[in-house]
Amino acid sequence: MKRSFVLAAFVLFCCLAAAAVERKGSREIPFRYEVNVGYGTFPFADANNFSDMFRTYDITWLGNTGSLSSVYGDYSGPEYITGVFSAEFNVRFKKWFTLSSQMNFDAVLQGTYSSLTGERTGNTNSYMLSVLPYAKFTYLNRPLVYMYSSIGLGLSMALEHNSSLSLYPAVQVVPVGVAVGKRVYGLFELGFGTVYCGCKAGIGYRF
Amino acid sequence: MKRIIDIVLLVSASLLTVSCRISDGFSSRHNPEGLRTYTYSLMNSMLDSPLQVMDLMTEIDVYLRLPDAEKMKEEYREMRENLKNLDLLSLKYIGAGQIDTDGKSLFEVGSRWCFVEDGYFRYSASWRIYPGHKDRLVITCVGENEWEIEEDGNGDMLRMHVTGTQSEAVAGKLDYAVTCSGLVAPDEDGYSAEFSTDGMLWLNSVDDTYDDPYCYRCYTGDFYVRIFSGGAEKDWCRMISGPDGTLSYETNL
Repeated sequence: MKRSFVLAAFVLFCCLAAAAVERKGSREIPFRYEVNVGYGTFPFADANNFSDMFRTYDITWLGNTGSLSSVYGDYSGPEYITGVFSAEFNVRFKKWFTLSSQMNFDAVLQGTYSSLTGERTGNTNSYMLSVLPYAKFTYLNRPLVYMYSSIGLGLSMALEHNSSLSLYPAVQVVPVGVAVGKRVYGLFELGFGTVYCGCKAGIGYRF
Repeated sequence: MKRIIDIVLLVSASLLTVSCRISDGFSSRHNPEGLRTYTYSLMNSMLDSPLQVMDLMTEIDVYLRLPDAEKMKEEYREMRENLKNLDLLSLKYIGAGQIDTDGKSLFEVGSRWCFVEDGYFRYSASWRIYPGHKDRLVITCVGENEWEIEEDGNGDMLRMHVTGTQSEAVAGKLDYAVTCSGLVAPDEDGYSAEFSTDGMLWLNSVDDTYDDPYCYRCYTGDFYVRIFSGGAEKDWCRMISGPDGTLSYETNL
């Protein structure tokens, strides 16, 4: 199932690339290539941690209070998320069409502590890496500003505490994105999906 | 242009606040509250639940000795629906478990009934469940309205002496005077516990407003727990239930 998903994403990427016609030396596309790095809000998986919309259990219930480990066992400390770090490479085939490849990373960090001494005994960190190709459609082109929407389909690899590596489909939709600048540009997106839910901002370079 | 970039950088900096603490986590439970919670939970599983089984066994015993015409009354409908004969000496109560009798009434001195829990005991959400293990309770009649209840499960042990007296509040029901002792087997970190009671009474109530909403009966008396680490006593806790139904605790912490 997961292999089929990845294969379908790759085929989509190739089809879109084949459909685009390269125009060398076009004044409409002064810079064909872009690289950028960005930082975004929590991914869908992390949304479960603190959104009532997704929560299906009572987080105040401390679980089994009828065992000695409930008194003397290690306990979990505060939980932190890193947010989503992303890196992207874009190839602009036409004024209105760009293909992107993006890599994203985020982590949820939590330590464990001894009930007797309070000293840290370990952690229950989890990490996620996502790789997605995107199809990006530009609907506003100005010398310094362009706006776009995009959709990406790829793969997420999650490493959770006390668990082996897991693979999940990755989907991301960006209804609104804006890039401002010429050779050096800033970007801001609103999007939702398994990569992030909320917004992302970043900085890039065109060449 | 510079202003636009400044705006983008400002938004980026704002996003850094998203990398944040999303929960405060938990705190150490090695404190008086943790000990109280554990003691209460242990009393629930080691006293309240076996006594619920005791009640069910006496109800089954009374039902089995009824004339057939009496058994068809509406008040015994639930018993008829859930109690099934497996063979001459064994029964099954749906939602509870299997009861192996020795053919004698539970009120006959020398009789010995065994109850093996099968799944979640419907009368009590606090019945101790060990995955892959079936708790086994043995009830032996040692005198008139006197029983010894023993349980061995997963290394834990319970020995309970129960004396029944006719309830003043509910006709046909027994109140219990309970004396018990037992132990909780060492866990993987080497912690174990011993428990005992002192003058506990389990009483029927005239209404559903129990003093303790998590126990199906009113009770009074003391429940004492000692906790050991690697064989050495580490902590203790005493739960005191007063005649007015109030609960208080004493611990070494």
